[in-house]
Amino acid sequence: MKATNLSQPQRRKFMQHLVRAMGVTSATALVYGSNLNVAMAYQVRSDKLDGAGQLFDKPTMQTLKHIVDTILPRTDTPSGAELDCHGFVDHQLFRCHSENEQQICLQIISEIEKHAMANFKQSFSQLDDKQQLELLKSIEAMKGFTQSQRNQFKFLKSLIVFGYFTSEQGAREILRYDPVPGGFSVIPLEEGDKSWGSLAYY
Amino acid sequence: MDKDIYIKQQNKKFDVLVVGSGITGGWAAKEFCERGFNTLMIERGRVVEHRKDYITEGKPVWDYDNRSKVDNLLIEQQYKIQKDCYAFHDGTKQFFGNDRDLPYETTDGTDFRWIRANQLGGKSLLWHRQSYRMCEDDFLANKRDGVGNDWPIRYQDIADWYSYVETFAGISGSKENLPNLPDGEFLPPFAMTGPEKALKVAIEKAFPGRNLIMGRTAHLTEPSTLHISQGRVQCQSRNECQKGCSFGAYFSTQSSTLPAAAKTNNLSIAANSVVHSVIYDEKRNRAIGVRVIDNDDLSTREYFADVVFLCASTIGTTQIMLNSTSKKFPNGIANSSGVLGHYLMDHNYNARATGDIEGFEDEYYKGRRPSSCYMPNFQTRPELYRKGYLRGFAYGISTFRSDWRGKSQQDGIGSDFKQQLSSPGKWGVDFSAQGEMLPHFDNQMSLHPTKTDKWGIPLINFNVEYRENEKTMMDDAAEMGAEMLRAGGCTNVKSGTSYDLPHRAPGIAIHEVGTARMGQDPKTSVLNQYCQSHDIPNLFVTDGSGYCSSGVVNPSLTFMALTARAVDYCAKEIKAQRL
Repeated sequence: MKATNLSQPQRRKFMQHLVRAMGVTSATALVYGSNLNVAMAYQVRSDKLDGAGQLFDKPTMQTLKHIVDTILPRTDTPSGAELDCHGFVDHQLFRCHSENEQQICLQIISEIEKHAMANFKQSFSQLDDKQQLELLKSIEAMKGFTQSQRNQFKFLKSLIVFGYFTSEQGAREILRYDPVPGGFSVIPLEEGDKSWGSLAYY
Repeated sequence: MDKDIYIKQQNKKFDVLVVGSGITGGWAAKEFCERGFNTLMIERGRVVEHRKDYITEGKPVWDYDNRSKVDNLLIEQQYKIQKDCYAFHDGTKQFFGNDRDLPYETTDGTDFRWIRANQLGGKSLLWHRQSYRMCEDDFLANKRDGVGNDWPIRYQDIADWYSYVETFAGISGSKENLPNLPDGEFLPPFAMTGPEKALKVAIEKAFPGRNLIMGRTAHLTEPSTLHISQGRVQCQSRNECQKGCSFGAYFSTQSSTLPAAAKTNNLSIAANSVVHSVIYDEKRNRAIGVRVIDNDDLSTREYFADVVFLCASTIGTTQIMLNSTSKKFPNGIANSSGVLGHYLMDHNYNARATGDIEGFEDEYYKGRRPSSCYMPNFQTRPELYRKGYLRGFAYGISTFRSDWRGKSQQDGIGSDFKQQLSSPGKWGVDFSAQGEMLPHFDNQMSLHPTKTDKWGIPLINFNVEYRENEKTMMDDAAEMGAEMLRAGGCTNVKSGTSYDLPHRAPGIAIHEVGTARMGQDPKTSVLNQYCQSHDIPNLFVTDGSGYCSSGVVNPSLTFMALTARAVDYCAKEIKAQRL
């Protein structure tokens, strides 16, 4: 019997039988090790990469996409935009945040655009990687930006990071994922070891 | 569970009605059923079947609509108040009450956060599971300070009942031999981390009499045969308890008391049954049953029994009692004293101190420990009180290595920042104070004179405030926490208090107690030492309503012990034909 193709209620029933029959460890290894089916969840969508969002129009999405990839560029792991963090931010702001918080993000993105035009006579998206990096760093350093704009940017940044590490790839592959740890213990940490991506509260 | 257990219409009389199915209702039902009494458990909400109805269990964060956050509109419409509970998120919202259907009022200038869990199992599904005994000093505090009334019981009266419920429920913890926090019957404690052990050594050396120990929690770290017979297995350290746990690894009605009660074949359950009031026979001076309004179709029905146990939560029970009026009791059943609804208390969780811990960079942890460390109250009697306020507080103490959630707030752009986000950062520590709230006559819940809810039951009005004593105590707790963190070698120490209304209003600690207090004197109290009402011998209240003082420890373990003790007493009274 494979757990892979079960619906949510089926999976629970399946697990319950397994727990009874085999004990905990082997049952959970089978169930949680498999791909669980997804119904309504926000999905990472490649077709969103260049379109308008629910909150952001197409040019704003473009700018946000480049902001995302400047903060979280491609390294040995995917970039923020490759995990559709800009699409996530648009979705999350629209669904779970106040109008005020939506405005904060719209304002800082527009401010970033203004700075790009003023200093480089180009849109943020058209700047090279180094220029984009310098511009965003100057927000946190408050060079040409105010404390309030720095706070706005920090809020947007935390949403982007949230989107990255709560995506399936972010939580499961880029970090260490262990849904059923089987107990609590202290372990050694070695150079290069990753954090846990499986958390109780996100 | 067997379908026959659920009933709706029932004309035959039961031996006992238990109103509520949370921690106290579950215990009352189990104890009566095991003694051979034909018992009806009445629950206002829906049935939640163990395992089957844990619909979000094991669901990974990316599978939620909004990555575990709850939709704005839904919060606005249905969860405006519940959202302030730390455990409220998209994976747990199905176990929280719906604020649209469950309105209440507060007196101008005050606020109250009433967290509801109206379903079979109640808040036993959602609780934080910390389980501590009250100590000898707690039961003497009112008497010594002259604030509130004297508890009619002492520690020795319930010590054996603590042992009894601990053995069955399964409490993990360490024996510490402390006078201010009595030991119990423990399963092995969860492990402490290196930084926690180091803090313990440093703080205990700098401040004799203050102890940093592993938290005691209702989790099966090593299940006994008794727990295995309940169908429960070892805790897997997922720390996602409030979604429900198919392993039955933490104590809940569903995992523990309900299967035990059902096994006797003496249990029936009436779900979706909102109790309107207790039916009182004035001639015999007995409670003879309850009036119920159907949760779904608003039709009415009645259930009858020889004995009525109210276990509907402190506020729920007192609402029912205030709404049960008769010629003899115009202001609420068993309320000849007039104190019913008064002396409402919660704990005060409004002070914190945080810091960074240097070192331990080669240490990490595996598993999400469903508990934290604890510092029991070290101001349990007048000679130990600090200046400016009465009584004391405990600390919940957690340590952690920072991860992307905290690091995302720090400066950084680009590949180095990205690299840092995925590796564990510095160790941090958090001291969260848990303070006692004094009993005060004016901290009151009452029924609204005109407004009713959709079941036609009068709305509650809360008039409850943290007062001078509580605020002075929390200021001190924040400062002392910071002082201890510095003594423990922490850096970047910060501390403070918060009373922002409405989010941090009384109620948010979800330890509401009082309102039908026990006491020796029927003129100034509602219940006697066995949780039996002074006025009506067959009416008992065994949830938090009976508390004379809030004490400092999390109350659920004491609810269990008081309930088991009350049932034992009641059963003996029935046998002696005194009820």
